[in-house]
Amino acid sequence: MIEGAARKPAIEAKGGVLIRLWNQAPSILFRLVLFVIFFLLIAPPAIVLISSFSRALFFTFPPQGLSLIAYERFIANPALVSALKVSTTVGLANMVFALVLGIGAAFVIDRYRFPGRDVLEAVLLAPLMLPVLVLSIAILMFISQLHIPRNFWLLTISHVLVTTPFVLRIMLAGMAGFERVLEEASASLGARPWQTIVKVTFPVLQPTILSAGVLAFVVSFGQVTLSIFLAGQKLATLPVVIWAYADYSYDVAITAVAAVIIFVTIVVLAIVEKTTGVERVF
Amino acid sequence: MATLEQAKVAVRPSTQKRYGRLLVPGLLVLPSLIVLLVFVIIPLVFMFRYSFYRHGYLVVMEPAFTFENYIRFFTTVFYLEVAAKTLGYALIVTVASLIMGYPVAYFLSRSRTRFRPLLMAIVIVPFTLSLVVSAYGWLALLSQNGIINWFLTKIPFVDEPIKLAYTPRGALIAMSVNFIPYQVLALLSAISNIGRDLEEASYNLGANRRQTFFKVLLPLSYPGILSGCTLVFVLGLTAFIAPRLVGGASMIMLGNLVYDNMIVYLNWPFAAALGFMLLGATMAVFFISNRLLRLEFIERERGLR
Amino acid sequence: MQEQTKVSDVKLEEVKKVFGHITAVDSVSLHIKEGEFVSLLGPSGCGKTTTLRMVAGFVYPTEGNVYIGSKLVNDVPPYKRTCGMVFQNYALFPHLSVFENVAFGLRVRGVKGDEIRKRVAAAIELVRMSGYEKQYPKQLSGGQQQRIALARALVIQPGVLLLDEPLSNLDAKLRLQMREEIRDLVKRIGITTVFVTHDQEESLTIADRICVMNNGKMEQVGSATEIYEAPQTVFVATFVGITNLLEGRLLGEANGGLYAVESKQGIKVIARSAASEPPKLGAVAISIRPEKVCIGRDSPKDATNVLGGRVTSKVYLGAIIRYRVAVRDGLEFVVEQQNREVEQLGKGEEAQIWWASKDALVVTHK
Ligand SMILES: Nc1ncnc2c1ncn2[C@@H]1O[C@H](COP(=O)(O)OP(=O)(O)OP(=O)(O)O)[C@@H](O)[C@H]1O
Ligand SMILES: [Mg+2]
Repeated sequence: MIEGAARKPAIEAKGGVLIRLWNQAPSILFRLVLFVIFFLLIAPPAIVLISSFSRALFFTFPPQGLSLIAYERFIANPALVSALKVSTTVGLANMVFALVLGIGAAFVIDRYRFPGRDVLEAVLLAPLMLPVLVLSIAILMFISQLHIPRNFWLLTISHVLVTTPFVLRIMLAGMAGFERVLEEASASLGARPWQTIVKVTFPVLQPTILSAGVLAFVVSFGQVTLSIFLAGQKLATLPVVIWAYADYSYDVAITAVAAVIIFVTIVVLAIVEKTTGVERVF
Repeated sequence: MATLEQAKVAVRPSTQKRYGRLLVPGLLVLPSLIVLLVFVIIPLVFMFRYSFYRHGYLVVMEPAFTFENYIRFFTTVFYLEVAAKTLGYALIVTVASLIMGYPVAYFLSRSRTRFRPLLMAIVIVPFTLSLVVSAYGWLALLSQNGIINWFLTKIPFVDEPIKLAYTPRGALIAMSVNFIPYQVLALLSAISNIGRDLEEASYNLGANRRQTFFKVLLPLSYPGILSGCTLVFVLGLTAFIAPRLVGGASMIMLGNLVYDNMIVYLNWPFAAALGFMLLGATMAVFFISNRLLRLEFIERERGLR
Repeated sequence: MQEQTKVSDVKLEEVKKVFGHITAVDSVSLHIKEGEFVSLLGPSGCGKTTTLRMVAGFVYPTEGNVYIGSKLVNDVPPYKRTCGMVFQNYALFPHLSVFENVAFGLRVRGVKGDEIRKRVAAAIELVRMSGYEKQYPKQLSGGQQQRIALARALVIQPGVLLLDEPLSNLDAKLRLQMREEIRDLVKRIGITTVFVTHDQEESLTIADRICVMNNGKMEQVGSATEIYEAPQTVFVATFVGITNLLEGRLLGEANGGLYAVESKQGIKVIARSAASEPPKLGAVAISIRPEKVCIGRDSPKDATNVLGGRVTSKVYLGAIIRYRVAVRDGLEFVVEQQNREVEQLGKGEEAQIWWASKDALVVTHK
């Protein structure tokens, strides 16, 4: 150790700065590559946020001047405001359903030991691997053949299909860390089973439930594919609006719409980080 | 008399418990299973059936039992070209996202920087963010006067902005970056499981960085690579949003064919056939990957690796 | 505190618990009297926790009966029993403050406002934790959490207090202090207490009676003195304290409750039996505590049970000196000598050891 430290300066004296640079090149290069990748990851939402506050009516870089014109146009456009309402209500209704289904299933998988338990878990998580495009068209064809019109509840349930597995996965991870002895302590203090569930189990699992809930909300809030096929005209959600507009025309208000979705996503991730930590969820 | 009473005490609670045991979990999982059955399994089964229907001019789907949708797909050069391109594009984004995701995953699993939560969030944001929103962002980044061309034109050799928006090139860049999080999340646990000491042992035995990477790190993170690539490949196969928005009208993947036949041409039986083939391809990919993974574990158990 | 729920006795009758292929507890019968402090002692996996949990109601016995205060509770769920329980990791509710943790048992019973405040304050006072009401469990040290867990269990005025290795997560010094505190507190209230531990010293110092368990079976029940001075089985003799054990055969009764035993090495020993019924002929063992064995260059004229040997090691322990003496055919004795005795031997010296017949005990293999 000491020997090495003593020898180093001698080499440096010979080769000087160039050799040191050459020796460190791989790690410098690695850092540079990392920087570029992280930049690419963050750039799309960042550019949308920046443009949404820009005065220019088109994307330009560097941005020119600050303004809220995009947001003003958003609010002034009834179609966009209605889409915001639809996205929010579908997201919330979806969250409730996904929590009910996901928590129920998680309880069974976590608490009971029975043959076929692994299969049950795999089946309930399977929608995560199903191509959403295929699922969307299958549902659309099926309901059309049955002459069921597209409506709010259908859209919601379709979102529930893809958000419940998220909830299930997060709940299973959270419940694995739940100390069952707390429930025994509760029972020993005279709490009936339902009292234990209400006063101990749910409150202790509350951060996990919150995480799962907001994630279910945001996945629905940003969900495009299902909504494109199953929303119909009246129930267009924010992502559907972006899809439709981006195809045909350009309107700065759309930048504001995209920015709103980004805000919601960031808020949700912040909540998840605060309650259970992002890493424990994904 | 006494024995009879004891018997009662012994039997009653256990039968009661057995019914209770079935009732509660049943009530808790049944709704999930019903929803899956009604909204996933049954529609998929019917889609399979619809793929043998005929496209009518007055009705979107005309009940029939014909293979013409499949025959049409396999005998039309255009569709086969689209299929080939789709496979190619999916492969490109899989490899590209792996190449970009690996350093990120390696860094995140090794470094102890205090910015870790922030960096992790940067990885997670595209994962959670709506596909259209990031496509929209990419459009802005790649446009003639977007940031990337602004940067490129500052380089001495590049005079003209490069056309990236509304080209397959641009869409592939966008998709590759969008899929990085899947690769990172799959690789993170795999790389974390390879102890630092293994790498150090490799250096210790005189291996250089490149050898250590190819002989130690890469083989040991193979399960993570496989599962990440599987997910991304499947997502690439069925992509249609980024290809349409960023790639422009000229970029047609199988997903776009499905969309157009559903929404524009209203040829639902053909869309059903395409959808069914995509589903089959997806399941085949997952199946193969699962097999490979199992093989890998068996080999590891035997100590062949 | 107000009117106390009646302190109950606990009775286990031939209790057995089988988990799959494992018999965790095997025909344990034990009567714990009102206000008595009993400790369950035994090695890891011997069934202590399972026994305790059968009293609490978390585990239902496969066979046998559990009574709490003369009521058969075999099928009574835990929340209908009057057992206060303290867990190894305290199991305080992380989402509730100290006050709410202690109040929990009262709230689920429907006790209201003022009375809750009074009783919780009294319970927190009892464990000397006043002033911490607003803190959360995470903000407390291990010892403080332990006290709150105790207050929480006691505030509901249970008939029985159950503690499962409550001190094992504390550091050595705190463990001694908490041991005293728990004993004082429990005795002051006069509650029936069952205390599980695998630490023999803890067990001997804290309990009125100790129940030594091994392999799911009860080996011996008795006071600390009885367990130490008069072990009945090989397991009890070796598990509690150090002992010299001579495997052998019971030849027959000598006189006055003394028995003749011949060890494998052919040493004939006269020994006492502590069991209520006389030991059967056949394989038994002799247990002689090291401090009961005398050592010297020459034994006194009137000494009984004299053996000659050589000192193979000598360890100076301050108050005592511990010798190892090789006697015969690989048989080695541990002998402890008080430091005040004048004649000390060196390593390698020839020595004689002897003991009184009443200090040698016949112990059986159970
Ligand atoms: N719920 C259970 N299912 C299956 N086996 C169990 C269960 N609980 C306990 N056992 C088994 O019963 C035996 C006795 O366990 P118990 O927890 O009562 O031991 P213990 O004396 O408390 O040990 P320790 O000192 O380690 O806590 C062990 O072999 C254990 O593995
Ligand atoms: Mg135990």
